Amino acid sequence: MKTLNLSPLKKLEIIMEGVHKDFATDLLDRSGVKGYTIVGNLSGKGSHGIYDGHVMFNEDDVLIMIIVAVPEELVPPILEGFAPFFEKHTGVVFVTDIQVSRLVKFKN
Amino acid sequence: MDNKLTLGDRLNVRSMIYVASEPIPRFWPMRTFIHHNPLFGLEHLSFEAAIEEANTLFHGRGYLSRSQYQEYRLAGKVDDAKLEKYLDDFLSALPGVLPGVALRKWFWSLLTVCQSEQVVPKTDWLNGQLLHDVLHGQSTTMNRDTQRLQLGVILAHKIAQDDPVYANIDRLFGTDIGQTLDELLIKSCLDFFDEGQSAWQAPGRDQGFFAAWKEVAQHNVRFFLRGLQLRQLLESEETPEGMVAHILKRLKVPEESWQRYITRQLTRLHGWAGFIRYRSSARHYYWAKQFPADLTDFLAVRMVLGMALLQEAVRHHGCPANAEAVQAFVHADPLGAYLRLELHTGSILPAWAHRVEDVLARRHRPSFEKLAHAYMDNKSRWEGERQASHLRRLAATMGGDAEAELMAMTPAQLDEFMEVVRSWEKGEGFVWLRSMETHYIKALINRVNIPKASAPPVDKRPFAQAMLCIDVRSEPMRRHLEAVGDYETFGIGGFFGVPISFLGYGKGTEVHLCPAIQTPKNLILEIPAALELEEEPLYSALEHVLHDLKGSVLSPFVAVEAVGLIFSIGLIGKTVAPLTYHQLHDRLHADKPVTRLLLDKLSHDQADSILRAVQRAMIVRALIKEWDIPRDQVTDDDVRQLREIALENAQGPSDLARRRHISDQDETAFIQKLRDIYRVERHEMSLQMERLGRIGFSVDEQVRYISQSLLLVGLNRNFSRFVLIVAHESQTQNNPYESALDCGACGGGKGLPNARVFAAMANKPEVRRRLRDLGIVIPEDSWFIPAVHNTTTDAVELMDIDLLPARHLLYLERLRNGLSAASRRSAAERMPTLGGPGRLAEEPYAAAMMARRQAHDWSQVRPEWGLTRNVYAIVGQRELTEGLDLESRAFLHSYDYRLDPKGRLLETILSSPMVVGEWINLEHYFSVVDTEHYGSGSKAYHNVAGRFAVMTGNQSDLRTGLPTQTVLKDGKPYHEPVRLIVLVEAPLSFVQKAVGNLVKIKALVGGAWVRVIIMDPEDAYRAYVLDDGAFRLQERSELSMSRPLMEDIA
Amino acid sequence: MNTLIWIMAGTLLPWFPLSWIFNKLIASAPGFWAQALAILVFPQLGLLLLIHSGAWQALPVGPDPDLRVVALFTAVFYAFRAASTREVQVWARLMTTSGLALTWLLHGQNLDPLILQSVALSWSIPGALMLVWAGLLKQRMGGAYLGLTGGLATVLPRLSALVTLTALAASATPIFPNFFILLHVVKALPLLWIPGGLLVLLLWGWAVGRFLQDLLFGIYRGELLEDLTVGGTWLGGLVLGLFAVGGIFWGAHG
Repeated sequence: MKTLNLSPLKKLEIIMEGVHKDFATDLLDRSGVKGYTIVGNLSGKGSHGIYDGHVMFNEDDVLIMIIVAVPEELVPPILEGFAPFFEKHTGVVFVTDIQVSRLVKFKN
Repeated sequence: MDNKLTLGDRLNVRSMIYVASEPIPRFWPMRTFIHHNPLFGLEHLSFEAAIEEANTLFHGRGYLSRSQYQEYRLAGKVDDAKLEKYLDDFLSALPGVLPGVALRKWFWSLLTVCQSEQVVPKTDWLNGQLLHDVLHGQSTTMNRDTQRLQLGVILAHKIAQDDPVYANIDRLFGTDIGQTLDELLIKSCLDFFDEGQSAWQAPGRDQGFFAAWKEVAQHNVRFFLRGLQLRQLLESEETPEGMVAHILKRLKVPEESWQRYITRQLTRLHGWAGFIRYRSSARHYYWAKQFPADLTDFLAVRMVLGMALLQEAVRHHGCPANAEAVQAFVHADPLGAYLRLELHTGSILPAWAHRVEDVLARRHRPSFEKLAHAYMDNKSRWEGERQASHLRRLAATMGGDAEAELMAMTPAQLDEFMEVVRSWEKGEGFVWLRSMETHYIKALINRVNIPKASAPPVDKRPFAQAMLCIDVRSEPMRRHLEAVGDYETFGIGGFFGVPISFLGYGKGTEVHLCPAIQTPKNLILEIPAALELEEEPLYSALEHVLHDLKGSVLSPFVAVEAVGLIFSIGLIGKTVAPLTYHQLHDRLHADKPVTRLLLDKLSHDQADSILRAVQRAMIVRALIKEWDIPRDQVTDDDVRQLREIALENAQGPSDLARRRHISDQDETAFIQKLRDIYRVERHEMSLQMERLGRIGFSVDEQVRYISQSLLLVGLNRNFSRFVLIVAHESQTQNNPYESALDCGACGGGKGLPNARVFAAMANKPEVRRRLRDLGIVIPEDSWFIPAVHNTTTDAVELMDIDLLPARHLLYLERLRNGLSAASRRSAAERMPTLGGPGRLAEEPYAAAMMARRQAHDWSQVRPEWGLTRNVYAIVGQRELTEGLDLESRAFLHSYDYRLDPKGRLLETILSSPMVVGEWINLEHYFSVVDTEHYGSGSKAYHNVAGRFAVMTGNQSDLRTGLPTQTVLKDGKPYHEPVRLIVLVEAPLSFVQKAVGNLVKIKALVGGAWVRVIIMDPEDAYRAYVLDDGAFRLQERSELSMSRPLMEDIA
Repeated sequence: MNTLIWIMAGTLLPWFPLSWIFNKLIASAPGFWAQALAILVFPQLGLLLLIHSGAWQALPVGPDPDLRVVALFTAVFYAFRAASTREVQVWARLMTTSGLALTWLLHGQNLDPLILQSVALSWSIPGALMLVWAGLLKQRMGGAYLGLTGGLATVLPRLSALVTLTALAASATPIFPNFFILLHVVKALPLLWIPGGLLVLLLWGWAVGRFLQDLLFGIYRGELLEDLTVGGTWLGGLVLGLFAVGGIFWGAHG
């Protein structure tokens, strides 16, 4: 049985309103991340009120979460990049430690 | 060489630009013009706060002038009781007290009879003491120390630190940097964003806006002639955000102010900024994919040009070069700075202009201080006199003791008085607006029919039912249709609840036919029913050639004599006899073929065989083009083999190649071409399969959409023989705004495909069977017919008649007659308002002729009024509004709350059609209130820019909003600016719950972007109006029926 | 004796640097009617002085290059100054000075004194009119300074129309006599000097353009103003009309 090589990375979970999805993904692309996952139609509660995940004809006013795994050195620039945005908008960023097995998928 | 800038810095700048750009409304290309709220980016604020913010950002006014509101009041459109109430509220909230002054009388006169626009205008120096002296004819000199302090305040305010540096330089030195910068920037934008309007295209556009511009800018003769030296500046940074940060640092703008600085820069040309904003986020926009650009590029170009112009000004005038230097300059010589400011911003007293100019032009200035002090004394005196004359004039119109009261006030009291008036005038527009809305709210509540609770539901089957769009123009049609026969009508968003992406026959791109806030997931194709290869008629081929000729550079020299005359036929024909010309023109052109819509999902096999067929056709074409082998010399097997090789399922060489002795190399090259150019390739194939999977709706989806829409309007029983699904579109010539007149619920497109899709789905036996299980029983002899309502000519045309069952043909005549009668009566109602003679109201046939002419006349700047004069949005049963003449001012959405226990349907209506209605209403509101900043000015000066927008004159910011011809009549507002008044027929708590579930709608309603009335059917239809944050009961009164409530202005 | 006459003539029918005195004298006249009168009368006085003292006839038959230099220089210099000023009175004075200087170029031709006086008049009349309009503007706005707010034409349509026409008259627009005079003057110049004359025309065109820009275009922001009376407009129009008619005659007779 081969031993699995696990490498440490940081995971960012960015929760924001769906209407800003393109901005967030563009910013992540420019910071050099190799990929991300988007989870849509979340519901939740924030300082602006309760978000119901199911709105039939309107895609902009729901919450989404973008999950991206990045090497540690990218975390401060990305947080710095999002700082002006989150000053004016609802949402949060969670930073956690994770480990991944295929480092090549996440790092150059 | 961004060595000074880290990745974090760059991302930070980008983020700042994104946030700064949010107040700027997106600008859709005019081909798909969508009405939207110009203050969309500020909807998180309340309406009143947003208008103030927008005033700072865009310099646009949010309310009409006082004199205009006074006119409305005299015409009876303002609720006096409410006006008085707001006045009393304001007065009772005042802290101080002015004894001996009848404040209420003063303010009431201010409201109702005062002729000045602003009684207490903004001043630099005026205070109570000064005013007192002027009123009593005494002379004053200001204390030099107070003057100096006040001067400091004035300068700090007018030459602010976070104003753009070039703006401050313009104010101090009279340079023209701001205007020149705008011009150069607009020219650069026009070059880059052109969408095929100009024959010569700018080079290197696919690298992005900033990169392409950089390349060209270094060789641009125009810049060179202006003395701009860009090379050094451009070489200092690579990326646009790096350039922005670099220049901001050079200008010594403090980092906390960067956000605001960037906002000011972007809002200056908010038309262009809005367009770029739209474009950079539009995923399906062809031009954006080819030539990418975003706001960071735009800002970088602007800042580079600004910097270069600033440097040039520094060289010529010796002015300060950055923000800190500007402040230092002002502090070093405040008197000089003040005089410069006055002179170059045009606020100087005319008698002094020449003297001041002279003094400033000299190097050393003897007696300069004396002149400056004398000027300031004069200016303060002048301000005092102006204020005194305003107040005296007001007192004179008031009569009585007013004049005496004025003269008796002490300086401190005068100060307070002016302060009070100033704060009142700031909020006065909002007071007028709410009073006007109250009038309309009361009018509606009093006029609406209250359904009798005891009346049983009628079971007689109407002759025909029709579902029309909620658009205000459907209202007259519905009213007339119901009057000419036994018709029942319903209102629903013009996409009929079925969002589709439509690929029309012969078109190259998809159109999204649904509200702009949505992206459709299903693709519908239009296929000609007679599947024969079309041969282009000779005439259209000729036309093609001729129009291409127009774009060539050499053609003027060659073609004018020969071909020019042919164009003149068109020119003369269109102008002198538009109807006849177009009839002839249509006859010469090929008829549009009969088509069907492909709306069922393809099975995997079907998709596969379609793809196979397409690939085979491609291979055949490739053989003809590349190897000159005609179709008849190739067998099917050959084609199949080549296909397999191209898809990497088999190896060459192919039999065909062997037969024809084609070398292996040639064959490999050919296969490669098949893969690259003709797209016969493996990965491509899976992508194409995925795309084909988007086509159509599954049966489940069909049932879901149909049942939802039918329940939404409350039509789930008693279906008549004909159920018309009436989409609407407009027809105009030479009109860049033509999309604005089409269906807003279809994203500015024409809703006919949606109607056809809906009808086709609802007619399917399979769907009907499933609907029966859901409780919606559609009888066998009910047939859904799509139709289209041409809002310019008011004609209603039935579509897909060839699919009609034979039995229904017997009744078709009656249906058609009813529809044309309703059309004519509708036209008769509308034509007098469009400039037709008043007698047309009694002559339906003549009116219909005039309406047809409007649609074909290319010189017509106002083919129809469109959505102008919209006021109401009524969500409820038709019984509420049956028979009422709402003068085409109401959006009518059918809704039956009893069919909606969970409130989901109401949520759908509120979150989609109501938002569209709000956008339309606010677009009209702001376009009429400020035609220059929010509206787009007169159509007569418009020039199309790059095929996606209009500019005023030769070069200007992209004009957003509606033109004056749409919202004004004879120079006066024709659209009455009030917010949308939404009436919902449902229980109060029910509606509150539904609104509470939608964050965005709650914000809109709470921020008072729309007014809400709820008529509670379970509470004897009492009306509750949302006013100042709470629902208040509004009683119906019969008394006001004695006065006509809704009058024409004309 | 001769020198004194030349100097006096130079102040009245101005050439640089004595033109400075000419301008100062006009500016110091009390009230705009007096200024208008001054600008009409002074050149006539200067001409009369020259002719009756015989100094004009004493000029050599062939044209004098020194005089030509001075005259052209004055014309160009004042035209250039006029192009950068926005004050109406100053503009009127400078343009008139520029035009009057051209009269000197007519020396050496055997011209009837009456014609010379008409030449001088044809420059003075637009100047005088403009000074009158300036005075009227000053009465209404406090100062006759264009460019502080645009679109004056929307608020004072009649006055603006007269100002525009007068400005066009002052800058040698065809049908007004100045144009034909300028043509005549330029024709009389030797080939190498013609660009100088054309430069004057160019500068005048530029001056008019800048002058009228803020009068006619833009949005007006300010208090309501009282326009010129209809009677006054007709009077002004009549004067300009007669002036134009004079120009047609002049052109017809060469």
